[in-house]
Amino acid sequence: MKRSIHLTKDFIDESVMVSSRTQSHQMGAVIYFSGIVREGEQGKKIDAIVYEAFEEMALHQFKLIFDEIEQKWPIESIRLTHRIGHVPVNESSLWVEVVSPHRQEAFEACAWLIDEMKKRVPIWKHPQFVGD
Amino acid sequence: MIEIKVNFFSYFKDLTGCETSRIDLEEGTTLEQAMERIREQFPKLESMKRSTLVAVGLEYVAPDHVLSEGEEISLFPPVQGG
Repeated sequence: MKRSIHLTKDFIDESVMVSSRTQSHQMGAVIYFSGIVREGEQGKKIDAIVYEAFEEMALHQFKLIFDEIEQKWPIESIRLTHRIGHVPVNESSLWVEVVSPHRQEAFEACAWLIDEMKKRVPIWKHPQFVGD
Repeated sequence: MIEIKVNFFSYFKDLTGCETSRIDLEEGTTLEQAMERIREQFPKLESMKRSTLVAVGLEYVAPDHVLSEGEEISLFPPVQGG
């Protein structure tokens, strides 16, 4: 399984990411997930989220999750980028691409990846409340 | 004795007033025993006991893990990526 994992302070340009996609002729499904920063958090208005990461461990835990995905589903490739630092409302904080032969395994692997990330990858949100 | 570095992340840095600390432990000390020592040193962590995640190095390990010189413990609240 081809894999790409990045933590970045830079804007995720989704059109650039999509245009750099590659897949073999046996692949029939590509799933994209983009997590967007909403303007509401804990019932209050925010203008951004600052993401903090224990970067070395986060990359390692993503690798372990990818290892498990490789055992569970016939995925050809996964690319994942997670923002760290300041992410304004309406920008993507997490971008994932899963390429597989059929849609079912791509949907399942993508959902499982994000569920597992939310249990064990050490990244935290610091909402920036408007007016603070 | 062994010296272990302890790292805090997210709002645990506010609760402890620091990003890192060091503790001296007897050889053979388990992670669970080390956690008791850390909570004695930083009592504000006690209220977070049930929702604290603990790693040694880059891994989540069992409470009976025996610590070795040079290992690092990291404490943090539930993760929130995405």
